[in-house]
Order: sequence, then structure tokens, then C-alpha cells
Amino acid sequence: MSILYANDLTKSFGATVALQGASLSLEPGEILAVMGPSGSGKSTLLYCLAGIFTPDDGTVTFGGRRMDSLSDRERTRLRRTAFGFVFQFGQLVPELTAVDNVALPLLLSGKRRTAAYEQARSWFPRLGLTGLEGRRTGELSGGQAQRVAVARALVTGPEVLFADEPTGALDSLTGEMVMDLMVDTVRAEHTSVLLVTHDARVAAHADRQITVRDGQVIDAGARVR
Amino acid sequence: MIRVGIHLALRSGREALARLLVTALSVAIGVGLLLSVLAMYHAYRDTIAKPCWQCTATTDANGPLLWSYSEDEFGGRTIDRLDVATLKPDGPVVPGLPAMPSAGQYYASPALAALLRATPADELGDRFPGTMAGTIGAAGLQSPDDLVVVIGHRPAELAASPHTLRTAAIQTAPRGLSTSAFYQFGFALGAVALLVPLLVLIGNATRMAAARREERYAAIRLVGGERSQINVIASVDAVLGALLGALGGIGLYAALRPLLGHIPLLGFRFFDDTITPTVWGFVGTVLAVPAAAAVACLVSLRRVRISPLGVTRRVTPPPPRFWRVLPLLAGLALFTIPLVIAPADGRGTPGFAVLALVLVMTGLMIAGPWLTMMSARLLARWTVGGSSLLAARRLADNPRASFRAVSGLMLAVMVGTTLAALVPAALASQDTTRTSPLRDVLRVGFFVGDQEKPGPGTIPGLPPEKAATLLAKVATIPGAVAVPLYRPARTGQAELPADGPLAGDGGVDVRCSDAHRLPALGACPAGAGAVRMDASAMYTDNLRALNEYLPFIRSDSPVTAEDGSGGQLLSDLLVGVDGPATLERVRTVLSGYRDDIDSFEMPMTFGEVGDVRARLFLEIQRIVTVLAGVTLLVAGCGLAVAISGSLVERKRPFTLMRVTGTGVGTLYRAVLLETVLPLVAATAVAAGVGVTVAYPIARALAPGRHGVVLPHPSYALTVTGGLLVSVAIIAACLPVLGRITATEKARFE
Amino acid sequence: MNVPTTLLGLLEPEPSHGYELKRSYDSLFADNGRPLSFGQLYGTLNRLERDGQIEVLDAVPGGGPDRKRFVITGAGVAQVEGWLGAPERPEPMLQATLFVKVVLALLSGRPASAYLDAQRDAHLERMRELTAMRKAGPLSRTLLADYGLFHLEADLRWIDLTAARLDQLRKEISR
Ligand SMILES: Nc1ncnc2c1ncn2[C@@H]1O[C@H](COP(=O)(O)OP(=O)(O)OP(=O)(O)O)[C@@H](O)[C@H]1O
Ligand SMILES: [Mg+2]
Repeated sequence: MSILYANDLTKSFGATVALQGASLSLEPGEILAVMGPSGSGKSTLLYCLAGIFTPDDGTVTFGGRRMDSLSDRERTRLRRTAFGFVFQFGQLVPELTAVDNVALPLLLSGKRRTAAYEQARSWFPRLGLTGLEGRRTGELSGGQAQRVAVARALVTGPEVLFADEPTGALDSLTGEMVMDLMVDTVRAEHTSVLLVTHDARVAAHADRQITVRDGQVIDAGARVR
Repeated sequence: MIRVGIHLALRSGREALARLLVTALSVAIGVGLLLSVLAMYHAYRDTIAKPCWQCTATTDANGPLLWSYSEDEFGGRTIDRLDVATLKPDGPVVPGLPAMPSAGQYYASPALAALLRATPADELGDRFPGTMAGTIGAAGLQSPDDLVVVIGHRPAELAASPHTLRTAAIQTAPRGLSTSAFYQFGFALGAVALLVPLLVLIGNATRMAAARREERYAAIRLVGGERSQINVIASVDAVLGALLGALGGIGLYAALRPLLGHIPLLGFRFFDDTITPTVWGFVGTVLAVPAAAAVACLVSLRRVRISPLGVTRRVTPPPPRFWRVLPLLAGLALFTIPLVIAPADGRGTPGFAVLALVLVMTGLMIAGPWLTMMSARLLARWTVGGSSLLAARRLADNPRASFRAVSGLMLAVMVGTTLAALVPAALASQDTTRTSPLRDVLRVGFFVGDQEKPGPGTIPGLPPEKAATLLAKVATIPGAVAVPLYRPARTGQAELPADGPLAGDGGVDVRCSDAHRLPALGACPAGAGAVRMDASAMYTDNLRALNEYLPFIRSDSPVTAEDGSGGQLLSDLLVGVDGPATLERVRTVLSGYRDDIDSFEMPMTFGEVGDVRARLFLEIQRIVTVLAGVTLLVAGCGLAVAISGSLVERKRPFTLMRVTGTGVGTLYRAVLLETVLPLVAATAVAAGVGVTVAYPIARALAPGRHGVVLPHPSYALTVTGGLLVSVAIIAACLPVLGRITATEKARFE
Repeated sequence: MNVPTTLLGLLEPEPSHGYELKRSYDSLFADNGRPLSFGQLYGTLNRLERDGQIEVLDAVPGGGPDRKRFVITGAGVAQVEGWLGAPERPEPMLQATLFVKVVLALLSGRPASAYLDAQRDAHLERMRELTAMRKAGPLSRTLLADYGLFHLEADLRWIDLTAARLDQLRKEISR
């Protein structure tokens, strides 16, 4: 039984058709890599699945509920409780320290401050970030910032982690390290991951991989036969 | 969520903290001054609402009080003197007194009591018969500096005097201050002038670098922050600065408070306890300023769509259109037309004029963006080069923001020019020349009985016996020289000259032996014993005019045999004095003749009259200067805050440009251009508006003067000064640009 | 390099003589390996004819190997299709074979991108295995796995790049 399921999604931005009939399903605990050329609609697909965009047509089902019919408020709540996000860059609040950023989703959920910070801090050793808790985001290296973003995404114990080019701004060694840590952590937490990347070595961390081309998810095998 | 908001606001690092402090500081300056204005306004309202018991004029044949009000002079200050006798008990009591003084007692205001203690009795104390029973409370005074005395008499002592009236009711209505139209207008002008830049300052401060703050809201949305949570977090951010600022402003007000007591806004100081913004003022400030900040923040958030992926404007605002100039024109018309059509005396229309003025100022604010855009277009058309291209781009892209930065300053310039154009006009209508041979001479005219209703008892001068005693008394005062002027015998009681004794046909007679004691009067023809001279010019209290008529006695002055010895009435007495003490001694002697003096005001020397006027106008000028300075300061702060804010907001593009090889000089020039240009454009318009506004007022103030009031040199000075100050402020902000865009700190993640 | 199937693929669009086949082969693929010798050519053609994958269409009278014109049979087409459709085992140094496959697919109007996608899947499958292997350690194996991964990644990049330029390539070879 898949946890996240998209059927026949379409999405256009004005004249640009970003998605035309994309479908996919994500199993619980699965890491699914989404590959495809630039501009093919990978990010758009991810945003639609995560409830950031509403698709023009088609359905997104999460945990048995239709996502596209949820209100903005409910989708926001889902983002807070059930989803985590790691983007290429820029998703951390620049003026806050690393630990503030990690504690932020907990604080927004109404968790008490001491508990939130305690929980946030507990993630730093797991991601090899010990000692960086008090650094401001601008004072972190790219790899460190990405790991803080991973910690922030996972701190609420989400069911699905959406990662869009999480290593896109990193060199391959650092990217490898971030991926290793991220994969280890999600495996331990049984979190499903939708991993958008065009880097095969990143995609190789996934259990399965699909390709998006021209707004569609293509099944390579089916077309050859 | 509020706690989270506070927590986030306080943990957001040094830049955010600096921003918070700048916001708080600016708001504090704004609020402090705002409270001061409120306090002064309260004092002003309180003071002009005080009952004018001095104005009592209703008569009642059965009233319990005999009332004789007069004004005495001491050292250029006026003493309100009330001589009163109680006919029946339980009559009304002058406010501030425990009871009406009984005969032989008097109450003095604290300031007068102090003066009495410090002054020899023959200069002041002897004017008031009896003993001091106590001091007059604040209820009966307008200012702690008021010199007031209420003297109790036996009814018989007052009944005979023509100045005395019998009354049952002391006036409780406030005085229509003779100059109140002018003052009210000036006050309103000043208040509005200060208020608008204050609001601009506070506004700029609370929305400082709002765009940079918005960046974080996207991140918060991404991790599941709800719109309402963003609203709370953003508001907390804004409210925090505003609240700190409001509290700081109260502190600033407390620091300014002692100074306020010294501001002679109406020509005198206010009572200390009336100078307060009231509890409601404080509460209102502490509540309203943060509330306004929160509202402004929410409104600005409404204009943007914060999605988890970033912040986008909901709609790009359309470029400003020409209609924006219309309110300004309407305001000008509304302001100018009634005053030009009916230039009356500036009275009656202040409420209307203030409304129009507010419209003019708002109109300027509304027209600003359009002016900015137009100047940007001109700049783009007429110039080439990197910096002007950058500046023109910015101005055209966001004329509102660019104008907002300079709006306060523009208003300050407008008000400055209005006042600078106004004050010389007001001063020119008064001659304040201080030198005249008659400077230290006072003229006292005599008239016994009621001038308005001449009857059997009325005598246009002092009878010979009384005159002789008076002259003898004056003669004993060392340093005083008296020149008696006699009424020619022909003009008897029956035919009173219409415009006063001195203007009588042929003038007054003066003995040459007396006249030579005041050489300025002129020299008698040789061998003459007495001459007749036309001294009506002495009725003018304008020294320059008086000088033009001197000398009164010329070689062709008609010689007369009437030398006062033949029972002639003493029409006027000129007394020259050699110093203030002598002068006050003379007045002390004269105060015994109050009933016979032709005015209920004690005479002043010609010099004193000029001095009093000059002092009044100097005070006004000083207030105006202070006001203009404070306004300029506030506006300058607003400008500085706005510029730093806009620089911080554009930190990233600026840094990028520097990294890619744009010289920091080009950036400096661009920023300078983009601020100075709207400033100059707006100032030119504001200065023009200033003249337009000042012209009708000046005409109303100086009705005798025709034609356009030529701008005084100080006018140009104010404008240039304002501009120089702003350029200096902008220049002072530029190093910030250099610092925040330093390439070694560049970080592009 | 699968020479027999490559020749079959070249023969598929239209019947050819042996020397024509050699010319096509050499101009398209000789950069990758060596030119085809006549001995290899005719040996291979004989074997294909024997296996029933090609047959002689006609022959100019006079004898000699060059006089025969060959045509592909149904069995031959099936052989080509099977080969194209089966992703190569993701191993280093595949590019020659992959390139031949792409060109043959284009020549025969088959969906070259689909073959590339299939190959990409196979590569990724192998990369996943290697990734799992390098995670398991020890370091010696990790390094070995890394070696494989980097090579496969290079192949994948080539695959992606080629997939993006198929149209251009089609134009070029059909000239
Ligand atoms: N907000 C937007 N407005 C207009 N067009 C958009 C927007 N977002 C995406 N598009 C367009 O939709 C198409 C798909 O974009 P998308 O970001 O999903 O591509 P992608 O697969 O993530 O590419 P990349 O690998 O470069 O990130 C592109 O043509 C893009 O230009
Ligand atoms: Mg993308």
C-alpha cells in the first residue's frame, strides 16, 4: 500500500506545461529517485506531491486522503507534521543559528521551548554537526548547511521527506557524505523519501528510480517492449 | 506563538538586533517629540481655557463688588492690577484667591511677590497699599510668571473713581487672546509640521528592511508555518521595536520635560503641571504606536504572497499618475483663495486654513511619487553613465519607496520656507528700532472722569493744584526730569478734540525752561518763554515714526504766553529717566494718580514699547527656529533610517555588482542620485508651495503692505540649508553601503 | 562489439552488397575499433546466411563474393531487436557497443531514446548494487565499488548527453 500516490497530474504555468499526466507512487520507507533532464518538471512534480502547488488536474493521495482537495491550512499542517523538506539551498532562515533553525518547526507546532531545543540538539551528533549548534546559517559551509537542513526536515519525525537536489550545490565527496548521512537517518526513521536529482550517484542511494521527461513519468522498460 | 515570535526576533543575530535598535531609537525620537507636542498642546488648551477674570465688564447696580482693573508696568512687564472693594458678603471671588482681600490687604501672584521682595518699596511696593495677605493660586493665573495683584479697598476709596464699575459676576469665559488667531495658526502649523515628519520617521523605522525580513517568512512557511503564524511573528517583530521605541520615547519626553517649561509659546511660560500629554496621551502612545506598527506590518504582508518557495508581490503597483498632483493643487486653492479674497485680519479662518494646510501637506506626500517618477524620466533622458542609469532604474521601478525616504525632509523644507517667509513679514510690520532720543522718556496723559461719556465731572487734564503736587513729587526723584505739557486755555471742557488731548488744534503749550531739559524736543526760538507745539506724533508708539517728527519745537514754533501758570490743565507729562530704578520710582508716584491717567494702562517709555514688541517677535522667531530645527532633525533621522533600510534591503544585488566589478564609487553616486534627485524635485515644489502658503498669511499679518512679500534671504538660506543637511545625511549613510557590500563578506548561497 | 548483429542492423534498412556494408560499417564505427577486414566481413556474412538471418537477394552473374546482394530475414530482424532491447551489462568500456546500438536504432527508425532509458535503468540498477556494496565495506571493497560507480556515472553522463542529441545524430548519419 503506497503512502503517497499521484495519478495523472497536470500543471501549467501560463503557456508552459510543466506536468502532463505524471503518475507515481511512493511506498512506505521507500527512497524513490526522480531523475530527468533540466526543465522536465521534476521540481514541479515534487511541489505538487508536497502540497506546495495545487495540480491543475489529477490527484495526489497521501495516507489515503486526497491532498488536492485539502485547504491551504490543512496542507500547511501536513507540511509541519508529516513532511520534511531539503532543497538545494536557501531553505534555512539566514539570521537564525543552526539549532534555532532545527527547533523552528517544533516551536511552530507549539512545542515547549526547552523540549524543542533539546530535541533539536539531539540531531546534531547524528548528522556530524556537533559543535555547530550556535553558528548562524551564513557561517556554515554548504555541506554543513545541508545537513542542518536534513536535521530540520527530520526533527518532526515526518512520514515523507521531499528532497530536491539536496546535494546540487555540493562537491561530489561532500554530496556523498550528506547523502550517506541522510539515507542512514531516514532508514533508521523509516521515512519515505522522494529524491529529485539529476546526479546518478545520488540517485543510486535510492531503492528505485523513475525518469521524468516532458512532464511525464516514463517507464523505460515498457516502451522498449 | 507570540513567545516564539519574540524569541525569534531576539535570536536573529547582530544585524537584526541592530535593526531593532535603530527602529526603537527612531521611534523613541519620534514618540518623545510627539509627547512633547501633545504636552505643549495640552498646556496651551488648558491655558487659553482659563477664565479671564480680568476681562470682567458686566455692571450690576446692586452687585457686591466694586471693581477697578488696570495695568501697571514694571521693567517692561505688565502687572495686572485689580482694585476691589466688597460691598456685600458672599460675593464672587477671583479664581485663585481664598477670599476677596479686605481693605488694606492685597494678594499678589508668586512672581510679583518675589519681585516685591527683591525691589525697593519706592520702585514697586509703594504702588500697592496695604499688606500682602497671601499669594494668588494657579487658578487665577495663566503663567507662573504672571504679575498680578488684587488689592482690597474700602468702598469709599473706589466709588469715586471713573474706572470703577459695580459688578455681580466675575467673568468666567476665557479671554479671546488678542493675538490668538496668529498663535493658533502658528501652533497648528508647527504641530502639523512636526507631526508629519514624525509619523514618516516612525513609519520608516518600523518598516525598515521589511523585504529582508520577508525572506525568512518563506522559510517558515516551508516548514509548515501557517499564514496566521507568520502574521503573528511579523507583527511581534514590528511591535517589539515600536514598543521599545514608545517606552524610550517616554524616557526622552521625561528628559525633555524640564525644557518644555521654558518655552514661551504664547509669550509666557505655561504652568508646569499643565504641561503633560495626560495619562491618556501616555497610554495612547504606548498602545497606539505598537498597534500602528503591527497594522502597518500586516498591511504590508497582505500585499505579498508568501509561499514556501519565496515571496512575490501580489500586484506590481501601477506607475503613479498625474491625478496625484490634484490634492496638492486643491489644498493650495483652498488655502489661498479665502485669504486673498477676504484678507481680513487672519482671524476667523484659522480652522479652515489649518485644514487646507493639512491638505497641502498630504497633497505634497501624495504628489511626491509622481514627481519622483517624472524626475527619473528626465534623468534617464538627459544623462548617460552607469550611476545615473542605476538611479533612474531604481526611481522608475519604485518611485514610492524612493520618495518615502525624502518625504519628511521635504515637508520640513516646506514648513521651514513658510515660516522663513512669514517671520520677516511679521517683523517688518513692527518697528523695533531701539534708538531714539525719546527712548527713555515716558508720556503720561491725564484725563479726569469718563472719556467716553463727557459730563460735568470730566476734565481733559490734571487740575493745577493736583498737577503741582505731582510735579513736586516727581522732582524729588533723582534722575527724573519732567516736562509738563499744558492744554491751551481755549480748548476748554466743552470742546474736546476728537483724537485726544495732544491732537487738539494747535497742540500743547510747553515752557521753554522745561523743554530744554529734553533736548530732543527741540530748541525754543530765542527769547521765548513758552511755545505751542504739535506733539500728536507722540501718540504713535512706533519709535521710527516718532523720530521722523522730531524735533517738535522748531524756530518757527509759535510763541505763546500761556506757560501753565494761568490755571491751565496739565494735559500730558513727559518724564525722562536715567535708569530703570528711576523709571519705576516715577511709575510708583504715578500709580497714585491712576484715576486721572487717560488710560487704564500705566505708561511705558517709548523704548519699552519697542522692546516689548521686539521681545515678543524675537521669541516667536526663536520658537520658529527651534521648531524648524527639530523638524529638520526629525526629517533627517527619517531620511537616514530610510536610506540605511533601503541599502540593507539591497545588500545582495549591491554586493553582486561590486563582486562583478562595479566600482563602489559608481554605487555611491547611484545612491546619492536616487535620493538627492527626488529630494531636489520635491524641495523645489515644496519651496514653491511654501511661498504660496506664506503669501496670504503674510498679507493677513501685514495688511498695510501691498504686493508680493519678497522672499527674505533667510528663505533661500533655509532651503539650501535643508538640502545641504540632507545631502550630508545621505553622505553619512554611504559608508554603510561600502561596509555592507564589502566583497570579502560576500556570500552567495 | 557484436560485429554480426551490427552487420545485421546495417542490412536491415535495405538490401546491400558486402562492400557497401563494409563501407557503412567503417564510416560509422571504425573510429571505435578497427576497420572491418574483408575476411571478417565475408566470414560473418556466410555464418549469418548459414544461420538463416540473411539471405541472398540476387547476384550478378559471374560469381565472386562481391556480386551477391543480401537481405535480412525475419529471424535476422528478431536477432537485431533482441540485441538492441537488451541492456548491456553495465561494465566499464561499453561506449562502443552503446554507440553502435544507438546508431542502428536510428538507422532503422527504432526509438533510440527508449534503448538509452533501458540502459540507464540497467546502469542505475548496477549503481545501486555498488552503492550498497560500498556501504557495507570494508574499505578495499568500497574503493572498488567507487571505481565502478565513477565509470558507470561517466557512461550515464554519456547516455544523458546522447539522449539529448539524438535528433542531431539522426540527421548526421542519414546524410
Ligand atoms: N513558477 C513558475 N512559473 C513559470 N514557469 C515555471 C515555474 N516553475 C517552473 N516553471 C516551468 O516549468 C517547467 C518545469 O520546471 P521544473 O522546475 O519542474 O523543472 P525541473 O525538472 O525541476 O528542472 P531542473 O532540473 O532544472 O531543476 C520549466 O519549463 C519551467 O520553466
Ligand atoms: Mg528543479
